[in-house]
Amino acid sequence: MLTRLQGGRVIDPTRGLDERGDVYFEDGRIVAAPSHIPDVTLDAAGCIVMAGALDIHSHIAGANVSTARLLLPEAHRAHKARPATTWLGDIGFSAAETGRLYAEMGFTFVVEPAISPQQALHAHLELADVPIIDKGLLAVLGNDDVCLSLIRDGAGRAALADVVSATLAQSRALGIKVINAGAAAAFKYNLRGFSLDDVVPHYGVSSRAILEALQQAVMDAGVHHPLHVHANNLGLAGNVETAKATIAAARGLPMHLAHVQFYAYGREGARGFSSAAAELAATINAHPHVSVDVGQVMFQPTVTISSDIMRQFNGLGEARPRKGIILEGEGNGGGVVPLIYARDNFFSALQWAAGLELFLGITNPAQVFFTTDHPNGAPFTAYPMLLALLMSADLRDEWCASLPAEALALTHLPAMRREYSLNELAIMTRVAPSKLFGLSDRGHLGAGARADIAVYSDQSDRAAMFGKAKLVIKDGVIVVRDGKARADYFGRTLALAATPDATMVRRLEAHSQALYGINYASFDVPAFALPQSHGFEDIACRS
Amino acid sequence: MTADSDDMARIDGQAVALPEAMARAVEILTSARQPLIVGIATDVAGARAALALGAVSGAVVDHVGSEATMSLVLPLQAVGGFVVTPGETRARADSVLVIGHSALQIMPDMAQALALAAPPPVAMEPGARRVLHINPGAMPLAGAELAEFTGLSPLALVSLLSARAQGHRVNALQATLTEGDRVAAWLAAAHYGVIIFNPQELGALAVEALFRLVALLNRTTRFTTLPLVPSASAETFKMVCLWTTGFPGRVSFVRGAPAYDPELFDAKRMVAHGEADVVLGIDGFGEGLGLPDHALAQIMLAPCLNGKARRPEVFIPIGQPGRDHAGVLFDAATGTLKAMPAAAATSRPSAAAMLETLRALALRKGGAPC
Repeated sequence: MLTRLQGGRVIDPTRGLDERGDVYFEDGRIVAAPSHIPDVTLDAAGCIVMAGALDIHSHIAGANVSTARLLLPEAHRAHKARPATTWLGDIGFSAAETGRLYAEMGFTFVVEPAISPQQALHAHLELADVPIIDKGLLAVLGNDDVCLSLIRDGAGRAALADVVSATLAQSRALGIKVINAGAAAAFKYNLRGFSLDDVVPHYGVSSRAILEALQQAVMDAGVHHPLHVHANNLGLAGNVETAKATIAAARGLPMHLAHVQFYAYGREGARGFSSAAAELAATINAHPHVSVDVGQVMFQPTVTISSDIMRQFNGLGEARPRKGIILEGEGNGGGVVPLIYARDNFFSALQWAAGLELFLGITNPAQVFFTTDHPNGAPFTAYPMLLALLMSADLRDEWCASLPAEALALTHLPAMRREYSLNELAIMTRVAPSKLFGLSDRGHLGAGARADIAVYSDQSDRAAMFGKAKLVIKDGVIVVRDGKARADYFGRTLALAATPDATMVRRLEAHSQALYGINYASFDVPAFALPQSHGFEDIACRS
Repeated sequence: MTADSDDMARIDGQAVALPEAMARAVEILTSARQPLIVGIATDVAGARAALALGAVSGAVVDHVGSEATMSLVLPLQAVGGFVVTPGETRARADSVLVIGHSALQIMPDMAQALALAAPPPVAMEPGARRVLHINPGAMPLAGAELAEFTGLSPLALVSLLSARAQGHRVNALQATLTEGDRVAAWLAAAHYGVIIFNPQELGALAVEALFRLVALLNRTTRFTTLPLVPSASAETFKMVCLWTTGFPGRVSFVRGAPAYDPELFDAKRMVAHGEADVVLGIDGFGEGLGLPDHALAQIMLAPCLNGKARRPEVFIPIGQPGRDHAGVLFDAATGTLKAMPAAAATSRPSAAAMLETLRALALRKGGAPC
């Protein structure tokens, strides 16, 4: 069935397009303007038409997310039974709500960025129940005995690349993330802080060595997405030095730094805590091989979910409500700590401003990715307002007026007048993420692309516009109409078609038995284990 | 297969064709004022389907093992906590403290899986593992140091250890104090300690106190816990319930959207107080339904009737996950979900398949009664 989406303002940066026009799709794919008459015409007059948006870093599934649900029943109950503005009102999403809420904002693909290989089946089962959108996950390595031992023993590039391939294949992952490299292991030996050149006890391996080895292994294994790095010293004053050192440690090779807002802090001011976002943005601008996502903070109660257990343990004292869970596993484990970002709080305001400074200070919109590190900086439901803030300096001024002046004085935000264009937003949320993951049929509206399309009513209230899409089309199917999603459509989970080396798999099996007394195959994700609604889409590795 | 075999669906004890039994089950379910879906001893797919059926029938959904899971969930919801996997315990813990008689008894395979007698290979300092068993009852752990506290409740015991670990004065018998100090010194000497316990044996309050003690110990050293919950299907249900409803169990769909109340939606309490008029039981593993003797499930999904004298109005035969059909279940050894192929495949349908059919039929009849 040929469908014409007629008369919208089509913004498709891949083709340099920003003009009124029609988009055609048939059998789930975009097609060129056809010669025959469409079967269906959808009216997009007065609307903005873009490809479906992609989110590369959002904690939406897995053991740690479910632990957050367990810890905070008050959050979910509030969401369902009381007004959405109630305290902790919108963070306890179920899998079904996650898919619906993302789709209603025009998102069609989301990556869960932190899954322990041991928890992959659990995560895939959750993702299977997230409707509408396509999903993917990153498997976590770098704090596990296998990687640490291989690096210590100088096992060489090939061995580590084989571990990466085996992990991708077993976990059905789309990429690899390293989280505070070595720190989770070091915390188990009772270290409470860990920087780039600190060494994991027992293994004698530095954080830098882990980072470099995994960065190389990910490239050698043919993974499109460069190593996804959660750096050391998250949230600490003066940690901009860590971020800069980590960027330097990339040695000119591709690397993705996650939620860099949490690393944009200096030590200026009476409280020894200031924004160093301008300095960090300048460093990022000077290193085009590095990509970052922001992890913007927005003002509301939330819960932090992180496999950086050292950081989460150290943050337990700031928990509001005063409770948190620290899970330790074979690799990273996870920590869940609820937090409140408040408008009248110096630190929250400074973090909010630092995030916006990064968005506005990084010149190439293809180098900076749009995230709140859901739910760590804010729930993803804050996206529409964040997009509006990026598009309007006046709106930022309005917000700044109600924030502590002491915090703003330690940032450059009030002076920054840049406003994102719709075209730049489309690059940041569509074009760049699809390229980052090697997904050539997403993020654009050219012929052959997947018919994942977001249609927004063009209105001056950009938050309202991005909050409820007028139409969202997924694989050629209308899944959202007038801001309301249908719940009975299911997308797929994208997984890299990695080929594990049989010798390495035998080695991993022997290791798992010897150290943990567990069959390595216990952590497999066989197709029979997943519901029928769940299909994998294999993505070929980089050749 | 004979007409009397448990492979046949039954209405009032009489073998009938499956569609007939399903139709009757839906009739009963949709005409109920307050249905209750209980047992739920099944796999991930069965738990998903049970919750989905609960959602369309306005039911309260509670697992038979939720008393055990809630003994852990409630303390975590109150104060948070520290938890570790069995694999990491085996590899790393230089000090293992087992509290109570039942923790390793309810999981006979766990003691062996943890290889407590072997030194932990990645421990900070190479050497033997210290194992201390407090209040072991008649089954002390082989090779463990023992400590006995008589006449103390689990809460009093944990409170005593907490107080002595902080050097606080405690009003107790000298023998108790001496023993408490010995354990406190043992705790302080750990590099990476793990406390193993059965939350149900200790009770929610003592578990809460234990998590506070572990938080305290972590100020100076590393400590965590390995709580052991005996029912794999209870853990499975908890996990599925978390991602489908946001809650760890004991949910009600009476108002449409799921609501959670660990006391109000306790199936045993509801039955005892006559708050449910229809019970649908799912018992894929023969765990029973945990209800008072007088209570009878009108609709029962199970591999067999077990020759019970009192029969449900409708019996629907199902297979056992991991035996008759493939499934995913919580695996105590890994501490997470694990895929299980069919060990001895049969044509018996899964609980999920039957529950999904019931849901489709209920939807066709017009869904929830109120």
